[in-house]
Amino acid sequence: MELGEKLELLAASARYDASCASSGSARSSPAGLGASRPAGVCHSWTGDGRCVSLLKVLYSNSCRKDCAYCANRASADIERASFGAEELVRLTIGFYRRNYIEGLFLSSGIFSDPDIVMERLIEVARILRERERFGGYIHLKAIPGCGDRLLRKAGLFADRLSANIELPTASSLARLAPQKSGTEILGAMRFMGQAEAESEEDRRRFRGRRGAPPRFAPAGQSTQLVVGASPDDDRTIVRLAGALYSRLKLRRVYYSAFVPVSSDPRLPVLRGPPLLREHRLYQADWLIRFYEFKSDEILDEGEPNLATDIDPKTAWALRHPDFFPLDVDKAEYSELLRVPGVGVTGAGRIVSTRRAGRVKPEDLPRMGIVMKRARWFLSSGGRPLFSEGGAASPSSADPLRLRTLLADAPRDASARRTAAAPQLEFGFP
Amino acid sequence: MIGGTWSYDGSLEGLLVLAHRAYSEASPPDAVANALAADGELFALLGPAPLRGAPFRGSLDPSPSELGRAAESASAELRAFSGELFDTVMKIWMSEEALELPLFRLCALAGRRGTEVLADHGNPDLRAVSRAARRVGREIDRLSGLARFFPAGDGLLAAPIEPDANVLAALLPHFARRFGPEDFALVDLRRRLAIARRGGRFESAVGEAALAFLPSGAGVGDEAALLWRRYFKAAENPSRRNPELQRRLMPRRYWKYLPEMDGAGGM
Repeated sequence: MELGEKLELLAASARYDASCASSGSARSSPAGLGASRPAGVCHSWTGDGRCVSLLKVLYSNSCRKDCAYCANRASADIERASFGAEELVRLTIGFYRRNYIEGLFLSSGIFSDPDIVMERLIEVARILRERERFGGYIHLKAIPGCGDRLLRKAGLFADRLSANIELPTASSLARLAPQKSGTEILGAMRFMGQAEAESEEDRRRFRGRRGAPPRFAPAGQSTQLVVGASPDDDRTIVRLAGALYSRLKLRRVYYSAFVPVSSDPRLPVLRGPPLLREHRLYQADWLIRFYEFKSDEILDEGEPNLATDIDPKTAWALRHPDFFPLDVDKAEYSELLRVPGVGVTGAGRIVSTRRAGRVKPEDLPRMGIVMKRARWFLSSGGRPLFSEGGAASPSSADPLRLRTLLADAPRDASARRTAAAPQLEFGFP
Repeated sequence: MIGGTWSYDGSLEGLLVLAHRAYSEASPPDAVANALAADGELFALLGPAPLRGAPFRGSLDPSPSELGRAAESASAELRAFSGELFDTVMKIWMSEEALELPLFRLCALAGRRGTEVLADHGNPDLRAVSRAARRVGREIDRLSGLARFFPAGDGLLAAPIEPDANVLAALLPHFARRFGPEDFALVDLRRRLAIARRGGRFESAVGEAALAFLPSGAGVGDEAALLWRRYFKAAENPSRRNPELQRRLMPRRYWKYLPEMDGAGGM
């Protein structure tokens, strides 16, 4: 198979992995090509609107495992191919020099023993770093079940490592991916977390002195959860993500709407990937990462799934009317973060403007505050910013009317399509 | 109060000196006259060497003029006062928008009341210059990812760009770091300016000499571009197709030189 054909096949096989970030690492190679910067760089956007930052391919799409939801599962009737290490090095360097990419994201089907698969991925990274002196970004998939020695070696060449959990509960894994072991995946994640912490500690000891050991995966680790292939509710997913952030110190959890790739009876019948559900999960994820929410606050037992009509922060605000209104001149930064329509930047601007004087309500839109939402939850000088029919705050407004007012309006055809797509048409036998 | 009309030549040096004057005298002008000559010299268009980072030091402006020295001293003082204010001055110059007056008023206010005025988002002058600075910042970020380099002979890789703002000098440190020891050139076709690094030395050019960095036929038949097109098509997930989102994130005006969007496969 010629290189172009192989590239098409192994890029298509890798496109279900949502991650393509090149952030979290600052690296350069004075003697060679390439550097990465902490914020990462997007080099293009595909027709599905996703950022292209890395050359994202599988080393091989041959796989011993037969996970029901996976396009590359052993039983799938697809063409199989594998790259050679030199082909991948040539593609990475060629694309990098033309500014198409920030680096390489290399994953693989499990075509052999986990140690052998991991060794192949490491070899590509080793050639790039040692022979080519490549200073760009490298994201390697950690193959669960491989030895700790190999994971440690991978972390010395890679900026980021990831092991995908894919399904949020042991029962779903047992049902849809019986050859995968949740214990093995979490074991690999724990080991990588420890190695990262040890590496940081070692480097602290060497601070300011020569001979500091290289950093282990400076951009940390990430994982991915497939959304909609199993009957697990959003609360289960959000709580798992919260635990991964707080206990295993993951940098990112990605959510990938399940794309029906087979007629396996264990899978739900969907008209299309549950994109709106995926979108809401990302919003909930942002609440945990940037808005100081605990995962348990976002959903509870009585409401285990994220609303489709409103975002998770608005849903929380409507459930907690007594928390509002908040005074723009007095509320703490962390309180302002809970106001629908106020983002991290807006909350920061309100707080910094207060240092120079009072915040005038008419200035709020210019600070990036979305008043259509925020006016229901803010006050100024003790006076609510909005009153209608005697209702001056969420606690006194008609809750149904307020919810309707704050509901997301589908903005374009694609959003309407997404919103209209049924999210949970499970056909579990 | 000083007031009156302040005139300058449209150069970055001139803007820096006047911004510093407003800051140090804590008083702005009533009006500004920007007299950028149509045939303004290259150094004025690119900005003085020391302000563009170490790679340029000494290589473009070996005998800095009196204005250059004044600008260097002004920039050092502004930067020491507030990196944010200094960055804003630079971006206002790159924006090529007539925002000198609000900028000088902001500098004067900062000189009177300190850096806290830079956080007062109720101030209309701050809002006007911040908006323009953000636009320039976005342009720099976008082109850091969307500039496309083509083989241009003798091992040189050259990228044509047509930015709305004059961001060539701001892109240079990013690509110098990215290319390590390799040769490269950035050519602003709209302004007919170019910056290149060959054999470890920086060069610059204007007019026809700038365009010469992109010889006719450069990049035609480049195998990497052909492979990239194939990769790009395969990486898209057809079940998630959303071209509107793609256009929002990557406006059409950037597509001209993107091989993956069927832009120039070569020059």
